[in-house]
Amino acid sequence: MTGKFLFNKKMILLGMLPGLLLYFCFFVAPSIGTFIFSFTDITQVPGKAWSFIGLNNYKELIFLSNGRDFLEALEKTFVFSISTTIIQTAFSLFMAVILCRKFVNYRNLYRTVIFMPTILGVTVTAFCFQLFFSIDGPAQKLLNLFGASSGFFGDYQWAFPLVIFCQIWMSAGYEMVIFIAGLQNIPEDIYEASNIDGSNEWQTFWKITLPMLWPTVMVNLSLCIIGSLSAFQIILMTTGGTPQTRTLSMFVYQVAFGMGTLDPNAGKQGLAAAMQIILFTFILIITVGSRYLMNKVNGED
Amino acid sequence: MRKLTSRFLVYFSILIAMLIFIVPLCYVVFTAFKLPEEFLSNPLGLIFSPTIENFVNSWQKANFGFYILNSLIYVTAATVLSLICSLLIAFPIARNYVRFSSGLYFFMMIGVFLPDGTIPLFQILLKTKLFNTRLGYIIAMLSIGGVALMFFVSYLKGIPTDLDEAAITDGCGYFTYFFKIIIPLSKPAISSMAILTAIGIWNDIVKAIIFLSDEKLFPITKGLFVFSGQYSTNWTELTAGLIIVALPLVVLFLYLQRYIIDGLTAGSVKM
Repeated sequence: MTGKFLFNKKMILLGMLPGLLLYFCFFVAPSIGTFIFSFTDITQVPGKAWSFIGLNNYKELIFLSNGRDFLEALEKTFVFSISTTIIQTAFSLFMAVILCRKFVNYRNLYRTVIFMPTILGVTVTAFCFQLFFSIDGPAQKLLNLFGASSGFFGDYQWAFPLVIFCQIWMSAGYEMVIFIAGLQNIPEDIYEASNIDGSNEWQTFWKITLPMLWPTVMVNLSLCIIGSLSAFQIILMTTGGTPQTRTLSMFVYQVAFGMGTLDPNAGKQGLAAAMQIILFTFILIITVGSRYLMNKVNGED
Repeated sequence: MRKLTSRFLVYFSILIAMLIFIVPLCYVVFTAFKLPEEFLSNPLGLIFSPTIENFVNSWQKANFGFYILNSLIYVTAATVLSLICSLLIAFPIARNYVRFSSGLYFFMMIGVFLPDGTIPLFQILLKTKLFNTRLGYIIAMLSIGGVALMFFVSYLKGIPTDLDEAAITDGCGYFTYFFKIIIPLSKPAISSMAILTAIGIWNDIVKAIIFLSDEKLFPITKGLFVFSGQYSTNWTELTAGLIIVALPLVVLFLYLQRYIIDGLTAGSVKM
């Protein structure tokens, strides 16, 4: 940057100003606001007086009456997040490896089909599965063949695994596309060398593909964990967040905005903010932890 | 022999995956083309006389013509505003034209790691009387910074600095240069991010429920809720509605697939 060639600095700053203001006022400030709100008893009702109540929201969540709901939601969050992450990552890695094989014709068609739910979005996906798992839908007919039946999203045992399935169905394509991009970065000659050395496909995958792909795997794992910890839209749209399927992020929106299944605490946004902060703490620990692990693994190579 | 077994396993896995992903979607398409009586008497039947009656009914009942207009306003306004703001911030960062550019980059990326701010945003919009207005919803759907900014910064770094110097020597102003030269040169990057942003806004329902209360202001996804009553759902018309909502994006995706994939992967592979 030589002193001679410069645009008018004021113009540059003027150009940045609207974006910075919008970003600060409607993104950064509300995020910080969530911390502040978690110490207040603010409600959804406009104009109602509110005050600071210290740590009461946190105490209420952990020790008081609805503490059991909260802990149950916390447990559901972890089950949801861990099972989604493991199954989704394994599935999308497997499909990515298969759909990069040269001998498979119409590879792009198959990739497009698996990626399609990302385009359809949560609303269409949720209605699609409500139909598929409706009382006289195809899934029910299939179960009837085996002499069984189920209430699916309304069922005590089935609802939660089904919601996890929907979440994976919806977001596996995105993860697969990232894996494919990572696989395409691996130089071809490495595979040729291992072929000449006579290693079979299983060995090639474990000894070459996976180590070379490791950075992408770590990125995908952390994206998937963070995404699934804060995913609630599919739950809201399929079951409405019944207690069997209520994860923490679902609970936050139920309490803050009275969405889905009615909760006695609906409208208490201070309480919801406190839940959000607890959820955020977990996300932060996992993000920092995975970064640390990632650097460690990369450093050893 | 071993090669044959492994090929068989590969094709078998693809078959299973295709079944899982195609069958639910096919069922939606089949239902949408069935007469209600036919669907009720035999929901799984594959042989039927296709009808477009559901699409006509669905369009009228859900008022899609009206909602699509809303959605188009939201998608255009929020996408254009987000991208122009991001680009105007990304360019000086990419060129180091401001002294604090690395700090600024950090500030613009930190939003990804901050807690969700929906609750305070709701209160801010209430206080500023922007709750339940088009402008308020557009603000809520903005995405400035984050992955888009990272993508733009790395793309803009690839545009040669000589161009800037030539423009300055010719006495070209900053904004003229930015809008006449930089924006046209960044078209591929802008297309990628524009489509991704647009998809997010078109498919949104949760933020619409939070930030809007007037029926007239809702985006297209709201129309789908007309068909599900308390006791029964009008599936034939609902599925027709699903196709109406999804079709524009699916067509757009098939045309611009490469840009979408580029945009999606750029953020995560380089991380």
